[in-house]
Amino acid sequence: MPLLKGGTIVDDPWLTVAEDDPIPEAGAVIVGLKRWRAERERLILRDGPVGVRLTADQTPGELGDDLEFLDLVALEFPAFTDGRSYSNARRLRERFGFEGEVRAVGDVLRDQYLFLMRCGFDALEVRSGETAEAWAAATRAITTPMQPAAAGAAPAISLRERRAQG
Amino acid sequence: MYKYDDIDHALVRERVEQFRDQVARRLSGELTEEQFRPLRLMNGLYLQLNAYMLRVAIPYGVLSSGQMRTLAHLARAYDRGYGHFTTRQNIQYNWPKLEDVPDMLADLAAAEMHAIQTSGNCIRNVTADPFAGVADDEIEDPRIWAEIVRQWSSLHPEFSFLPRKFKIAVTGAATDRTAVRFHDIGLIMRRNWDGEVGFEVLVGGGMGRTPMIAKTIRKFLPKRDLLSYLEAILRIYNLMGRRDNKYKARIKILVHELGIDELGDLVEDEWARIKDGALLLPDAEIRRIEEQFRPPEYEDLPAEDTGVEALKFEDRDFARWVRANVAPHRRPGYAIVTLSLKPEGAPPGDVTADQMDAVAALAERFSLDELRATHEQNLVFPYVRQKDLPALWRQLQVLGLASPNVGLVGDIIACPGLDFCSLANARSIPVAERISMRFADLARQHDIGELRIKISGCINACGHHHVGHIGILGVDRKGEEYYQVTLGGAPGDDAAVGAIIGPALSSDDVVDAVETIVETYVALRREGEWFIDTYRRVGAEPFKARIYGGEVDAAA
Amino acid sequence: MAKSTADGSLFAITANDLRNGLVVYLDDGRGWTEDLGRACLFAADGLEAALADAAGAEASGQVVGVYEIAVERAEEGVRPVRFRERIRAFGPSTHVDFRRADVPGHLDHPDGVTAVSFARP
Repeated sequence: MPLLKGGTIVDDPWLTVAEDDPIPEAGAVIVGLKRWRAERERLILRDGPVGVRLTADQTPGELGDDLEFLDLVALEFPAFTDGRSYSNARRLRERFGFEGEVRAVGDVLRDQYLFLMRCGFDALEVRSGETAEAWAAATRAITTPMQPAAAGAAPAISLRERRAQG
Repeated sequence: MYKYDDIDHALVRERVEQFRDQVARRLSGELTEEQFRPLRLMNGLYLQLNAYMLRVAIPYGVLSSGQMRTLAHLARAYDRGYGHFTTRQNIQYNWPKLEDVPDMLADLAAAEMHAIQTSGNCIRNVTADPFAGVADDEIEDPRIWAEIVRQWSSLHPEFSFLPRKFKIAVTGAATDRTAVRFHDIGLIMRRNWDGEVGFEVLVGGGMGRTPMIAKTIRKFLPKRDLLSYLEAILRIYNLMGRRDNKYKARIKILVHELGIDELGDLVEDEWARIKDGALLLPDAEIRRIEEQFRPPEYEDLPAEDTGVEALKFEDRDFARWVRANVAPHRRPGYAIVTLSLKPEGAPPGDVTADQMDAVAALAERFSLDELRATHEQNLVFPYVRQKDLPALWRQLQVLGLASPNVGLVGDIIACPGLDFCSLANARSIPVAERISMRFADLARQHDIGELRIKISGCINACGHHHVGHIGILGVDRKGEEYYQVTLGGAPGDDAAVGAIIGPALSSDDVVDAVETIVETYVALRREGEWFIDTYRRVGAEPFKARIYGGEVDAAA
Repeated sequence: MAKSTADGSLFAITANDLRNGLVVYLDDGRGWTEDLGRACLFAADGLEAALADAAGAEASGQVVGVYEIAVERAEEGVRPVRFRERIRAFGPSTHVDFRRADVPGHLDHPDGVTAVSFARP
């Protein structure tokens, strides 16, 4: 599946490994939480980056210190109306200081791109022909947000504070 | 009141363009209805029984006269000449066309208004005391905090796809006029032992299928911590609220299932990690917003106006109007006037475009340009000089907005019901009209005294029937409209959920039943008791017996 | 127009117009009309095909929310069986100005209450 990352459509260098499939010797792989727990050592020692995919009801806290071994966390959206992963993305960025790729997978609308970006997502699987232009337009739709978040433009409060001082 | 700066203006304008694009993509077929629906809901646009319905936000109920004129313009230019004020201090238009809505939003944006988040599973309009800033029992003005919460919650990237809708209310007075205990989060301004003003935070109130009174999650929260604490609550709710069952998805269910203590621990844990971060409110920002709500330049006036006192003595109608519709003001010589939107035999809360323009002109002349919408579907003029009361009253009479029935049996709250709403089981507006006609005699209304009747057309309870002194709930019984009666609900500091008194009554019988209830109260009351007091003293039995007889009839 | 089946049950297909939101009914010409009197009526056995046809209009973005309603023949013409569908067909019972059809009694309520009008003398 193509990936929207860094504002452009790219080929996905990661392989999402299904529950029962073998893990390749090398290359970037994404596994589910259960698989990670079962084969943690092997995945850490393996030659190649590893990422974990969390379902909407799993939280980054369940990875905890293991985040230091991961280059990617994928967060699921079972339906675009299910907003749990927005909170999990923010926790990844703000509580755990995760700096790897945070990827949205599943059902998202382009109208949600701005929210995704501001919650700290920097990549998303493109399902239905969405374009880099759509991402650019959506993430620029609101110049100054009203509240602080994990990423994105400085919020109104900061701007107003700067004005009051300067 | 709050005036937009360039940042606020940009936000609403950009939001309009976003929505314009979404409508275009819907009309072109690029978006299906399933995809478009949550997007249009986040802009307050419903598809109802008869047509689309647009719910415009009136933040914490406050409007300028210029904004009221904009609401009149919308009614005239895009709708059918009227609007309906709601139980959350918003206004609804029942006949907009989808392709016109972006233009309506653009006209609103030019007037510093919007329809952002008036629907959908996100944080809704923050409501506050309609007497804010002028009530004589006020600790501090809650509008400042309602505005701060409004901004923080607008297009919040993390909380736009919650398990369900989320409603916040703020009160800053000794008397709660916002039904704060029936909101997902209720904020009560309190003074602590050191004299510092902060918030008691309550969580988990609500109406609907499972009415619940909110519980205190934190007894005292300093002002500067307000947003970080709210963020912690919302984050826990977003992650843990149920998503498997629409009827169990509000935070009140989470409170019920976890218990307030466990929920409190989870919130405190989250909050501890974020409280001193970017959401800590700088004093400068608090002051910037406080500045916008400072009191007006009041005149120095005597506490009582002799002209008014004389007219009260001479003119019984004026006296009645003052007694019911005029409330004491914190500033000597001023008064708070409620415009009754409940004329006898007419839909509660409806106002025509012509009336809106006239009200705007009156607000300019008599209320320093400002008015409020209340959750009881009336309007308020907060800054009226007592000496202007006679002149204002006469003008309101001409407009049909001077029914002296505020808080009385004619001041009925009713949802739109089956005449307009696709969720409804039964009609509510005709029942409200019939009750108001039955009690049209004003002397009788004033003798009965305070009695708040609330009518909902379905269990979603948008008419707040659970907290009516008399509550009426429309139900569908084999295709016929039936009505269940509850007694003893109360929305304020003595919060209570009404109790069902018997099987549902037919449309023909329910108005008679209300009259029977009132007569029973009048027969049993003691000196100084309003209906709710008598009910609390004697219980439901005397009322049940008079309506249902010695034994309870099975519903026909 | 179809004849009713042996048990007399008759149906119409309804939706809301996408652009103006108003209530519409599938008519004889495969178009949509606001007037129930001009709606195409179906027997139960003709419903499935009609709904499939109508679904096309939904997919092409003309209407939203297609479904069938039971109707019956009455003195004043065809009317829906369910009360909520009478509101949709004839208009809210509360405002004279919003009526969609002149149906006797639709705007009248007990206790002498009638629908309001915005027309001012």
